[in-house]
Amino acid sequence: MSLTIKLDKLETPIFQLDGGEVYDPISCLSSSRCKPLKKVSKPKVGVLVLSPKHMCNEEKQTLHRLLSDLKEGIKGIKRKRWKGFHEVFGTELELGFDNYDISGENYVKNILQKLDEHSKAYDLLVIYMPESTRSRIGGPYFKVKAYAIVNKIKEQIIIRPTIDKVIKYIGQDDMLKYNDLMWNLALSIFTKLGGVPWKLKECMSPVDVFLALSTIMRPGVLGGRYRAGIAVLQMYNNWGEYESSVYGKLLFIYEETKGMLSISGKEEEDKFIQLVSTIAKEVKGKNVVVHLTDLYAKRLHELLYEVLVNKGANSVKIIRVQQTSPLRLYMDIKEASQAWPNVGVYWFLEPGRIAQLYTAGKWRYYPHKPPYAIPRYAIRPVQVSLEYPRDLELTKDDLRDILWLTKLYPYMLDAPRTRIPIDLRLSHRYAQIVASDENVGIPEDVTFLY
Amino acid sequence: MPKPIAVEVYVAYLRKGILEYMVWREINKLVSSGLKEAYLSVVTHGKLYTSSHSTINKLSNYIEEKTAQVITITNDNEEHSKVIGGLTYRSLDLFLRNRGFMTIASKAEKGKRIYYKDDPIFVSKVKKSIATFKAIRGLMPKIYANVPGTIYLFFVPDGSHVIEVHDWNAFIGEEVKIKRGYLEELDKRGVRYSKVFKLENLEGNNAIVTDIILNSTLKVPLSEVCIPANTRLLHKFGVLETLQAFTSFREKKEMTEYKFLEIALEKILPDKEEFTLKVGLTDIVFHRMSFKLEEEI
Repeated sequence: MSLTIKLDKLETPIFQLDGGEVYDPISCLSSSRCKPLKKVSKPKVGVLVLSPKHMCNEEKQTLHRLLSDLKEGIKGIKRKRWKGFHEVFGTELELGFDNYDISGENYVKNILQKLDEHSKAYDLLVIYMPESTRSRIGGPYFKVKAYAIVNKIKEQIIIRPTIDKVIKYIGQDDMLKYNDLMWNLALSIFTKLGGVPWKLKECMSPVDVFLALSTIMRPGVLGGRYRAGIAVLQMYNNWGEYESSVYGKLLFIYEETKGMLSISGKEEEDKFIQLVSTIAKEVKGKNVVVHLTDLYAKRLHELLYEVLVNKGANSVKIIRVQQTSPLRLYMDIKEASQAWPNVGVYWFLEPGRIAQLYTAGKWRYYPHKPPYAIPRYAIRPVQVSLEYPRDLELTKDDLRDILWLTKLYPYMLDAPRTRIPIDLRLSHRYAQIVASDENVGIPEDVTFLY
Repeated sequence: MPKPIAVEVYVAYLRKGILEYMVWREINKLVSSGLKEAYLSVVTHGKLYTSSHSTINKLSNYIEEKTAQVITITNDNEEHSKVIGGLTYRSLDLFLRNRGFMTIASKAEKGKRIYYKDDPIFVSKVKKSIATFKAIRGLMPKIYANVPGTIYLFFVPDGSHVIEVHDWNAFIGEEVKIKRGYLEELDKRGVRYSKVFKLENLEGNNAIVTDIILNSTLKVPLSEVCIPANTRLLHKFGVLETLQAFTSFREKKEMTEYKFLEIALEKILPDKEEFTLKVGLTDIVFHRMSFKLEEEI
């Protein structure tokens, strides 16, 4: 006997652009029916491209092709075609080029020197770093990011895997994927230059404030279970717009078998209370939802809750969003007539407490023949659970907020693998940067974290 | 409110002064010495819960024997849900091992195991002179036992990569990992470490490793060192694409993740539509679930 479980579906958000209210802003921008909500103030912006002095020909040509297509657009695509920076955003990119020396152990130093030299003359610096990953905490990528935040330099880092992807997509003539990548890059640059591509048409009531908590353990064991960590808290309003950040160093206890973090002792608890109090200055009378992703001991939830209530919050819910939830659903796609499950689908594993929610998905489309669309790869839901207080319930609105916040990445709306809400993603990214340089300070605006 | 799942199980209080980890350690000893049913036990909230009376007898030095009795526990409270979840996982683990399955740690979920067999459906190898690079995929069970009325048992396709080193010289300068048992040894000796190590050199059967963060050097037996099969290293040795294609179910056009799930379930379970597992002293029947949108029902 097989059992059937009913799935429900949430509406994806409607976005407001100049010229339209739409579910799919990329389509709208691409078709020229819409313009971005707020343009970059200058009609022309200077962008300096920094790359290593010695690169192989293929790498060099690909980087130039990427930048040239960013400026001029991609040809040979019908759906959501990237038409070029000026055509889409109304701003002309003026590209300049310079090299840095990559020889020696610490090539980051050479990049930072170039940033100092050129940051006043250019609006944005595109830096190509041939790193195979964003690297670990304290690695070259995060060092450059931290330096840019401290010195208020707007930059866009491109790492080697991005160039590898472009080589692969162009080599296989997979221009749709190349087009997706270009939209992500273009939107990232546009927002860093001060543009606003879109915003939500409606805010996410009844919540007033989202608070995201991320923690990063720094490498090193301080004896037994003690870990030195960084805690970051970020506040977002109910339009999903960034408001403020705080961070601090804390000593944690890590229980390896449970994968659970707790705060070590009264002194550390006081530091944590201080951190929460600093960001929660304006929560009086507001409904606060805290998003977090790590597994914390109950005491940390209690502290967080108590501080927010003491600061006058009207209601507080602490909700955990796990990207690593491995569960996923399948349909035998041989017979499938449509993509499944769709973005927005959810079900309650435990009513009122644990839900599985599909926040992202990507399908390969066959417009003229069945099965029309099949998943490009297995699509996983996020697991959402109400951690504290247990006498409240996880509701459909809580899930809607998480879905909408996940759709709010202006720089990666079409990036199908990003499944967590923007507040958690950016607070985690900020924690990685802070763990690489504790003196980084508060970013002048959120686009420094993109 | 649905009727909770009820399971019969032996329970006994731990003696005064006996800590839970001591009982776990003793259970592991009993299992190693051949008392397999001792494995079907959970120690929590100062109590031993077990499926076997012989375990109660063997652990008499650790428990208040006069409190030992059979009780019915239900999954509508935290303690008993944890016991039911733990017993279900251990029962399934034993069931799969008896059917010839092996395990490897999941990268996606810390502390979880992936079950697989030495069968081309589950394992693919690339042999090179310096090392054998293995791609292993299987099913990772995940259990939710704290929803009254239900025990969810999910089988999730998951994969991992392994490097079996033949020539350590090829890995000098690379990041390495030291096995957990040896790290515990270092803890006992009061040695500080950061877990970020690099293989600096070889001395006979020992590795000289540098702690990158603390800038210190350690001499570690090679048997306690392993090479993490990370993306960068697999790429460096030219095996990344092949190994990833296998664990992401792309090695053949017809091998979708769904197809693999169906094949693996057939190999793992006697009947993938319905099968029975003994949890405590109670037989629990698991039924296959399907998910449908309202308009599909």
